[in-house]
Amino acid sequence: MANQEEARDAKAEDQALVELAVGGDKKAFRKLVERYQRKIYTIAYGIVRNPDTALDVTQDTFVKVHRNLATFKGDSSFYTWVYRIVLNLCIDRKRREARQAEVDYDDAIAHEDGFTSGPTLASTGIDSPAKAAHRKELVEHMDKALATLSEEHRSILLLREVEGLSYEELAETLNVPKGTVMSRLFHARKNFQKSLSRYLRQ
Amino acid sequence: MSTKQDITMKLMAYADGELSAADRAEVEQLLAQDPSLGAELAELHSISLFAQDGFEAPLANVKVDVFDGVMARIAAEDAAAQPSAWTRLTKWLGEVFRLEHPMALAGLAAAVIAIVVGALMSSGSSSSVNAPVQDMAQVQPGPRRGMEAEHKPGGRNTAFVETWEVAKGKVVVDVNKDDPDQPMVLWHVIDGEGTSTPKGL
Repeated sequence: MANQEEARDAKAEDQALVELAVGGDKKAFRKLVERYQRKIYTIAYGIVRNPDTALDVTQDTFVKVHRNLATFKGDSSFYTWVYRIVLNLCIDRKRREARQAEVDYDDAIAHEDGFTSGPTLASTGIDSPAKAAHRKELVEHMDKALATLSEEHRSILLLREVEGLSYEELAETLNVPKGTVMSRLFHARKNFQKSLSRYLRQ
Repeated sequence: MSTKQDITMKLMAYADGELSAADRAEVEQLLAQDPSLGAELAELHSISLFAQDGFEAPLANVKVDVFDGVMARIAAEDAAAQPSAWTRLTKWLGEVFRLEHPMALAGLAAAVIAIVVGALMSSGSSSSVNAPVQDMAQVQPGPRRGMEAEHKPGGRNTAFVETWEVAKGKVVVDVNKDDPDQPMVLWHVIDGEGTSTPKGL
């Protein structure tokens, strides 16, 4: 309940800042940038996997936000609007680059089994990855496992696991039906689990 | 009858807090009946933890501060997008005269430019003709080289020619005896600029 109230307050605050920024208030725009720059960078890095490109995409995102601020009517949350912009910029950037070899799993191939049919992460004995004994090695494995996912799967995992977007917000941000959100999230998690388990077994 | 995948999807939505109260109660009943579903739920929790950490860990020490860069990029883009002088002129004319037809606007703009260019050329050429005279008028005459009285055949009897040396050359004038204050320049020589004479002489 408290979270819902906080979210409502944050949304109202964003909207007020947007209105001020549209009127030319540079401080309000700076506040919006400072509020979201880390999140945007995290999303950009999560998808493009390169710190310099991620920083460039983050700047591009806010330039685009600045240019289009007047068109933002507040029907959706400011952050879902901004997330949509950064995702599109990341996808454009990736399309321009040479495609990396990706171990991708087709969403159309249903994982008939649940999350415990193959090697599980629970069986690694790592209850809390952030406190793992071989932390550096684990971070490298997680990074490699995420890199094997498709951009679509990385995007949805990021928005759900890091940004905590609801299914409805994911549908709005990714511009897909809620059913697709569930299916894509399921496959993204399953693929991440498979890939990471493989690295952790090595 | 729900398939295994249906149950897994429902379990995932349960873990994500996305189910209605009725659906939540249904999943909790299933969890109580089937202990293997508890392991599924635990695995889903692990996947979320690992994914979250996997995304955030590489950025733990990264400082992100892009505001100045963003503003600089906006300023650079704005500067690059500045319209050309022609575009600004036509836009201004359009605003001033509120013309709706671009061809008429272009014609008007061309006429204005022609007038401006014509005026500039005209003032430029007159200044080039006048320049030596102004030059001579500005310099103080030097000592007279001499009063070379010369009767001009066919000319006025009362006139004689006088040569003045000036700082940048010399001026030959036809002085009217009756009114020496109104000499008539016959020709002048400006150092480095050649000689010019009034037409007909």
